[in-house]
Amino acid sequence: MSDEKDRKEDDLPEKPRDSDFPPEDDFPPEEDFPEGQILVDEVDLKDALRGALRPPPGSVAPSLLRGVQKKLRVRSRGKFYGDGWSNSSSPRSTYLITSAVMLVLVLIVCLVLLPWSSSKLP
Amino acid sequence: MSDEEAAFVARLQARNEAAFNELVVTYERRVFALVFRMLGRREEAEDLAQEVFVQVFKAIDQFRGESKLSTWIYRIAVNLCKNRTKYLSRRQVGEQDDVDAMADRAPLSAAKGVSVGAISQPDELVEGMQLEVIVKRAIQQIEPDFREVLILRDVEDMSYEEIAAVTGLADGTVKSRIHRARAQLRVLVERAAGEKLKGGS
Repeated sequence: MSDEKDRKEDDLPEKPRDSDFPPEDDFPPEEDFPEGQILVDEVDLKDALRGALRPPPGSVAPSLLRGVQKKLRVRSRGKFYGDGWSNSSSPRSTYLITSAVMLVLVLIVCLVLLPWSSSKLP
Repeated sequence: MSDEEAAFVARLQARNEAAFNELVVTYERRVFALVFRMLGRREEAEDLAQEVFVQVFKAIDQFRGESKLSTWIYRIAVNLCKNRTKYLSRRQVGEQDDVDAMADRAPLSAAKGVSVGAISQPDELVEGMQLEVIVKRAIQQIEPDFREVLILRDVEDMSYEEIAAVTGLADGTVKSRIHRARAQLRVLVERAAGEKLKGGS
């Protein structure tokens, strides 16, 4: 039974400490208020709390999926949600291919421009 | 846990990306809303809500189905909110909360037909939007531990048992904190309302 209870406890992330519970005298002093002046009743307060914490009209909750995927991709170094290049575990091949392509491009440009270099400008 | 949920959790534990996408889409609104209410800052809330799902992804192996999956996710969210709140209070960057900023933008005259000059009764003062503006500020001044249970109970409509599971507190402590949170909120709201009354007269 205690094992079962322990497992249940382990199932959830860490518990907050009860020692943080502030003492009774941490409350704002009620004597600051005139006696019998009840401005807010229980229902008003609850409704106001709901209203106060309601998202502003027209605001939309953001889509979190892309951000979550990006964080997981970066932290897992591309193991999860890998896109094949941004967090590749061995990016050397990517760099080599890119370098080779750039070299070929430069050679082609040189070959095209070389005949023009000896001719006079108009 | 239902068979369907058990199968879903098994897919998550196998690090199935499609299953995890489904999880994020299913819970993102609720997690974001909770985190935003706890922190009061949209940017922080968005970042932290993403962090909740990252933690879920990392720790899903530890979920053994003894509680509901949603409860487990909420617990991660609440714990991360507490840590972030402590971090932000240490930094004391002096940034204005979004909630506070909304309160500042809301003019006194936005109260239901009540303007400062026209206030003659306390009941009128605390009506509608005016009261919400005061509550917005007051809720940020409450002890974080109290704010957490009050939001879970009065805004998220969770039962005492659910709150106990989410926060890891005993049922009695949950009830006591909610009671004290309401008392604290009431005192702060009445004090603010009283000051507005004095200022208006």
